[in-house]
Amino acid sequence: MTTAAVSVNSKRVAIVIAAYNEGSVIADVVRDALRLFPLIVVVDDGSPDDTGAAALLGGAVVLRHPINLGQGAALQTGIEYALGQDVDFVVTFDADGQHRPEDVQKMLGTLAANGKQVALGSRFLGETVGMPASRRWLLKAATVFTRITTGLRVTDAHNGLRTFRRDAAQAITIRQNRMAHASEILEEIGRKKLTYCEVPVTIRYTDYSKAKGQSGLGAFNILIDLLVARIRK
Amino acid sequence: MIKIFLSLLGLIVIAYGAREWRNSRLVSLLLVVCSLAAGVLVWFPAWSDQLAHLAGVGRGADMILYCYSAISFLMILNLGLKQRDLHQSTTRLARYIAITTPRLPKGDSSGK
Repeated sequence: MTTAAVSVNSKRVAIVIAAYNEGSVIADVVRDALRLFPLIVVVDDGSPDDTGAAALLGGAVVLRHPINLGQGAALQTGIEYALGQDVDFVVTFDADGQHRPEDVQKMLGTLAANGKQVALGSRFLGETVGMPASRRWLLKAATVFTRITTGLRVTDAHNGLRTFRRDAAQAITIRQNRMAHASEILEEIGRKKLTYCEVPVTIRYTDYSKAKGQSGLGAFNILIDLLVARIRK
Repeated sequence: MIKIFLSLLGLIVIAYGAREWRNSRLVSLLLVVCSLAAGVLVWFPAWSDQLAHLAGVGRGADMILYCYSAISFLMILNLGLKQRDLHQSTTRLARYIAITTPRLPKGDSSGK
């Protein structure tokens, strides 16, 4: 599919970044994204370090949770703030430097061309740089689980790079405060019958991002969170 | 006397279970069913022996103990779910504070 011909006004896009203890890298991540998009919203999730100050210095709008709530809660806060601004698209973007702003442009172009509501980044359709084998297997297992529970034919269930058209961002509510939000977003897409596509993206693993990433125990916690949410219903 | 006391306790748990219907139907239903079963076994202990025998537990007293364990587990689960609700309220409050007090980069006056 050719997407280069269809462009989106970058001023109508909000990049939402949830950040906790990312003081050492967040300013660079914000500056990198600002090259292409003028509105970067960093949600400082109650970090004890200088994440908020660094993000502000980098040029982002900073929202701060008074206490640490989790990545899912921070993303929902950022999305709600972004929807209060004059934007047509909301993008979720990781704080640890794994994502490339150029991929966001590609996703926006794809949505503009195919008219779908959500573009999900997929590292397995695209590229990974320095991904450990254990992480690959963990993510593959999570994808199989998500395909079974949501019915969505995705290839990468836990990719933080997602682009929502405004109506899709309004339709989705993240209630899972912690890491189970990634599965919850896909469940919401399926339940609300939002149209979606996957876009190949590049994920760059660094020593820093690998240290911050999910462990096997984290995957177990996600399963428990999803199970408890189902009991509650 | 002990039967009446246990039955009263069972009724309290049933009332509690009925009240929880709005929050979690699964927990509510299991609380009521387990309490009713326990109440029946208190008043008709001979049945408990028969049931225990059918279930392969051995003694009726053990069966009642298992019912008690099941109710305790459900109550703990329910407390966990309540704690989750409380956490969601905290989240809404923290979100409100965050959204209404954005810090804008220098030279930007577009935020609300």
